[in-house]
Amino acid sequence: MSARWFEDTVSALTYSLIAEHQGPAYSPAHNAVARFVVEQHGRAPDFLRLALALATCVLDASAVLLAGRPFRRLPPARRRRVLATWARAPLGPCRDLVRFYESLVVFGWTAMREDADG
Amino acid sequence: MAEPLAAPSGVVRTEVLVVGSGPGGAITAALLAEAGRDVLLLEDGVFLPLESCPPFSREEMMQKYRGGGVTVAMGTPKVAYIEGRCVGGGSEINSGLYHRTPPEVLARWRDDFAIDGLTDADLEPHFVACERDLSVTALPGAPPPASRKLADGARALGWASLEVPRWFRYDGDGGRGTRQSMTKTYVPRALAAGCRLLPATRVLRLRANGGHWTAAAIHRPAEGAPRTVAVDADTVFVCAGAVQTPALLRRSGITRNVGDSLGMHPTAKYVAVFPDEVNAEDMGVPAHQVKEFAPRFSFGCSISSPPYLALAMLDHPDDAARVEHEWRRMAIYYAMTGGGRGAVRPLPGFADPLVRYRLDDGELAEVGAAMVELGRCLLAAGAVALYPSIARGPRVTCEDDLGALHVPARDRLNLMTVHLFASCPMGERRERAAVDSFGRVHDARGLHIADASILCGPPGVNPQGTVMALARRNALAFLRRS
Repeated sequence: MSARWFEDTVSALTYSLIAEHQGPAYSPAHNAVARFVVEQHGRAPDFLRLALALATCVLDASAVLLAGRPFRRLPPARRRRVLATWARAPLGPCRDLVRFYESLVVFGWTAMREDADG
Repeated sequence: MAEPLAAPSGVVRTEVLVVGSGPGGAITAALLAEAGRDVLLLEDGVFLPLESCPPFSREEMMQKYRGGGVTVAMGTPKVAYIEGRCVGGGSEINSGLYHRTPPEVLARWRDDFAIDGLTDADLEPHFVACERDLSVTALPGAPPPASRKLADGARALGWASLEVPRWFRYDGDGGRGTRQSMTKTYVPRALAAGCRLLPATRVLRLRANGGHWTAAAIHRPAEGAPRTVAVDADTVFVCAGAVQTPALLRRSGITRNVGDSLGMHPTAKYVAVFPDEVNAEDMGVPAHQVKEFAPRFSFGCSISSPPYLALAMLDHPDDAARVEHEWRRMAIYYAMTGGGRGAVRPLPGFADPLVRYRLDDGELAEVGAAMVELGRCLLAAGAVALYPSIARGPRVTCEDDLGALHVPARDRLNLMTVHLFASCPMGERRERAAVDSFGRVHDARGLHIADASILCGPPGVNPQGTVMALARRNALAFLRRS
């Protein structure tokens, strides 16, 4: 798994989740939040880091079956559908993965907006 | 701030090695160094001043939390937990709320584990000394409105509540105060007394070596490649916390009653919405707690900045947007319980240990009971809506709604904790205890534990006061013996 592939997928997840939580489609802070998420993943306990990377790989690949392309290459509307499928999946680890990214993105996004507001 | 030791090379010789610089390790290092012992203090995390980042911020999470705060005890429900990983350990990131160990808790530990010297009278001088050294004091002004709401609710129901003192100094700075963490107190004292400190150094394993102990460690400087460090010590105090201490001991082949009995205070939360403003940019840490149901469970108010509110409202996506415009009327409250039991195990091929935790049905029902009573308290305080930490859980607007919380669904309940303990309990009952009454590891001469690991179960209150009093008692006992 290359770092570039992982960062691209996390970036796609970040943009989608910010939009999902009433954020704008793009702002200069989006990339900073994506960097925060990648860095926090890098700080996680090593066994969890590996499990999360593998699950992220599965999410990216599952979009080929669900929407015709890897998650990171989908347009925003189709990304939302894939995320919604994972968020409601009967398998706990699928829901946990979405929750993991959602937690970091929402916390990071809100904190950065708060910093920007002074 | 005093300078830490430059990275040594070869084998470092010391009389006493202290592994971990949190509340247990810092006080141990300070007392032993002040008594003239040659002390080396190793810390896995970096050495940063308390002021390196705003408290409870994203920066603090990145700088000072172990695993960036992405740490979780596996189970159903999972329990997210937080530990410090920096010089000063958890004292650098916690709320600074102080309690002595309740007498009934000490009595239960004495009876269950056959502990010598653990009466109220035995601990009294150690509590007094720690309270003096950490400036334990009440808030000088009025508590924040969110904190008062908890007291209002308790009063309306005829329940007991209290304003908890904190280890803070207030020196005419407008009432904000300065937390008396270990980097403000015992670490400088240790360094002034000649203790050597090597941060960013992780001990991989310990080995008994002909009456000495050898520690194999890896030092990761801010610049340059990691390098191995070996330490030869007569005595080792392991003070790495309730997760890392048993992990290190088990990696070192010391496994008897080690890492089998992890305890924590599983904590459920509500976001409460009030008709009036209760929150502000500089609200800080609310200090009221409701102890009406202690030691079964107790309630308090959490950090409630917008990022934490947004995080908490993830369980309620339909109403999550309220944070944007209504955060000043919102605050987070917690119900802290004491049930469950966990284990800490190193994983082959990985540096970080696996933490597992299990709540049985009765313990889960206790979490539900705590949420119901906290809900009653907040409604009595005037809350107009409560959002429990249950994924897509009910929005509570009246007491009738609380019925749905009595037995929360395991797979939807979100629990967290900042209190972990009891993974290497003390006592003379060798069939249950990892260390003796004074923190000496059974059958491992010269090896001690001085952190929350040696507690025998949930104290039911913030454990730092207990950890420090026990560490002081055990360090002084060590000095008397040797």
